[in-house]
Amino acid sequence: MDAQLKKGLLDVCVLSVLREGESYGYKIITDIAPYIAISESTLYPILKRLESTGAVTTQSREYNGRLRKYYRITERGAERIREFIEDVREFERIYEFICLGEKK
Amino acid sequence: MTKKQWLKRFKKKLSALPREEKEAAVQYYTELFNERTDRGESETEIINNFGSPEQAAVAIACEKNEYSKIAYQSSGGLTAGRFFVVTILFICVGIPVLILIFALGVTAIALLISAFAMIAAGAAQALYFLIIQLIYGFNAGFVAQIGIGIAAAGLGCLLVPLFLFCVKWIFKSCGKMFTSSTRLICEKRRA
Repeated sequence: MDAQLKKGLLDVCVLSVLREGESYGYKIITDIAPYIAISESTLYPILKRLESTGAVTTQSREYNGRLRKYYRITERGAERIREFIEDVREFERIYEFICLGEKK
Repeated sequence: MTKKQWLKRFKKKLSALPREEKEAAVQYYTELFNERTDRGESETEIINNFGSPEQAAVAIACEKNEYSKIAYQSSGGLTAGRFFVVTILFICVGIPVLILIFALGVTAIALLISAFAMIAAGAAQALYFLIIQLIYGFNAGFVAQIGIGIAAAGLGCLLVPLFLFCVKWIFKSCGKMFTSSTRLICEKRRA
């Protein structure tokens, strides 16, 4: 898969996980892993990027005597998912044109 | 490699980044280390999963457009650019620091010598006037001179331990200054 495309997809995958409720680093990875390859070193820049663009907010809370950072989706993050879905619909039309255009 | 070693190398590779970002990244990996440990994974398994600290650092730097700095740090050889920076830093920082260290060292030794010279001069004066007194007979002025000589020698004896302490302190400070300047050059070289 194209690196840029995968980067964009991973951003939305992380947001989709967070749409179900706040989550933390390890859980985000395990939730996404069955669908798309992701590692710890891949996730960190994504979370930083989403945080800097205001798509997620963070909060550190104590868990088992140590700090765990929780990520929560914002309205901007939810909007990002909606935009992505719109884009995919457009891609589908282009895909049909590419694959079936000559047959129509 | 242990968790501690991995995090240490990772932190070192991120030295080009601002402190806050560096700490946030270290915190992220520490948290993941702990999460995986809680789930029964061994340190080796976790580290294999994380990859090398260099790869993890480059992934962060790529996002921050700091790749060149990290990659530069990761390269082993002395490039022409690095050689130039080191040379300039040595001329601007290294040489003045070395001169300062040398001057402080000379001062320290001079202080110690002056204390011994004071003892020698005091003893010589006392002895001289003692001889003069023996030759020319008792004189209150000569007795006073002997007293001054003994006092000077005594003062010298008191100053030796004090100056010795100063010498040790100056040499220790020189060592610290040398270490700090070396670290400064190394950090500038990395940046």
